[in-house]
Amino acid sequence: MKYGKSGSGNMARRKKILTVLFVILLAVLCFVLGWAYLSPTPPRPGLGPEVADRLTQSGVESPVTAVLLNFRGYDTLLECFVVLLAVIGVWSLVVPRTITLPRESDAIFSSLVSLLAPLMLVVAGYLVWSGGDGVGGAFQAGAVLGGTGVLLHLADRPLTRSVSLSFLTMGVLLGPALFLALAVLCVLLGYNLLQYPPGSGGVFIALIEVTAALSIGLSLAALFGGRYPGIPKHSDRKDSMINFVYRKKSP
Amino acid sequence: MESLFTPPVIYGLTGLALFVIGFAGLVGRDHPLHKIMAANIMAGGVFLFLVTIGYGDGSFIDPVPHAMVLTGIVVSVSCTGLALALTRRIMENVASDESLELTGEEDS
Repeated sequence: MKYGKSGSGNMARRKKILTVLFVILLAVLCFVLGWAYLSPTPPRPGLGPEVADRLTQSGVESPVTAVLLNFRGYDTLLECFVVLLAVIGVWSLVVPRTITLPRESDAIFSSLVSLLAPLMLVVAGYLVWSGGDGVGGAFQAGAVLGGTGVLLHLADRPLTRSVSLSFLTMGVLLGPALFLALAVLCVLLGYNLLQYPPGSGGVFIALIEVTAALSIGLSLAALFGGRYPGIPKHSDRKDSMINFVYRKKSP
Repeated sequence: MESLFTPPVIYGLTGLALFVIGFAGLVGRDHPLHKIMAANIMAGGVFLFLVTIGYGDGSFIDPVPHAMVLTGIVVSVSCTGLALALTRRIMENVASDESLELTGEEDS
């Protein structure tokens, strides 16, 4: 009732104009991006040759792993913490018990998952191992581990049923914590942050890869859970401070 | 015709198209779930584009964009998870706000 009849007509017209303008903007964006990409450019050598020159110093044979965990290690360190932050964010939210997925137990799916889960763990292990000299590494293995966690969750066998909550929390923390500890260790040994001592790059990278894969996998599985798994199932919403404030504000 | 549509051109343009489609959804749609999906489509386009850039003309492969995309995918999945959890929380509050408003109007 806030808007009169002429007002709502005006609104509709404005919306129409905005839509047309938006479509024009999208068309221009399409054209500019496509033109910029297709216009002839001088050859970009990129950083491939630089990486190839220094590959022997990195401690691994795969250029992608070398970039990921040696040359741009700080980048990956921060990204591990972004994943950790996402888990902390999701675990901090108070999710009311009213929204839960209705779950039916499916014998075929559940037995398929019990066949697939061990296989996927082996694949994840292989991916970590092959990261040293080829395609693979912590993030790929973490994605496979996370997928395993999601499948287990869907088969009504969430991780917290097989491992304790403290183990899950420690597992989520282990990768970023060890990564940070090794980065600081480099400083303590008299090098720059994440500048591995000569000759020891392989050991550092292997340690980070294994723990980061575990942590990423557990983090992704925890994110899929959508809530802190430690809250007792029959907790009342009134327990939470957030809801307390929210309830006081509303009439 | 063959020289025009080389694999890098096809992949690059597909990446750009996905980016624009995602952008349209991100701005044009109201529902948070649609926005999250649109942002993911945008991210997919960016990843495809970056990998294509890293591939170059096939004679060399730049590992730096590949490493960025590799971590970016996992980070985008994590961000989607957090965004979905936040959305669920927001929608819960919006739903209770709306029900409050409705009852208030009925009273007056």
